[in-house]
Amino acid sequence: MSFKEKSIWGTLVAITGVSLLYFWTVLELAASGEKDLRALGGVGVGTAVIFIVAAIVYHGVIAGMNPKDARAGADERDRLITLKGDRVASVILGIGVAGTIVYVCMGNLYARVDGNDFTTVNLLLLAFAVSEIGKYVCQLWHYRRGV
Amino acid sequence: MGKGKPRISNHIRELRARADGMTQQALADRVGVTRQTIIAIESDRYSPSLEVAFRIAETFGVPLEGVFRHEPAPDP
Repeated sequence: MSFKEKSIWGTLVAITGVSLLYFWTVLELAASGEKDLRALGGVGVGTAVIFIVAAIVYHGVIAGMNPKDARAGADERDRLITLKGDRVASVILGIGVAGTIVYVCMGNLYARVDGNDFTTVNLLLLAFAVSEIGKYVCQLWHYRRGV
Repeated sequence: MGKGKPRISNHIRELRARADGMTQQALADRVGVTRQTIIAIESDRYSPSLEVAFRIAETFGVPLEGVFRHEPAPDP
């Protein structure tokens, strides 16, 4: 497996784990009635730090195992696979943003839909997390099955 | 409409064997791609750009059609 593929696997596992941790904490906050954006900011920064540290350590380890492969830049196949992954991510993100807009509009139109900032921010973050996971899954699929 | 995907096959493995058993890494270095890309091309999982296809042909000193063969998609 190439450095690129290992990198994508590691990032996929890290972003999935961090997203689960973040949204689990958010659900607990919401259940306790603490729908405060400042508390949310703390959770967001904490999970972002965990993700960055995990990504640095993982990439350091896999680069140390094969430094030549790690130094090699992306070639045309890597760039094509990156583009395909980005396309999938943009579609998922677009759907997520459109869904969030509908949610906000429903909040303004109908009192029963709770269109608050806490939920809006988390819906956008969920769309971003799912789009990133979709991007890496798509890239791995193309590395394994062909372009 | 409904046409299958055309297939591009190649003889890179045979050409490497004829070129004193050139390794995939050596070919990748000469062509300017990664070894994984050479593996993907050899196993028909990636069709390279024209530029890379010409560089592969030049490396073996053969014309393009001596390396790659285009198999049109069968009509449905």
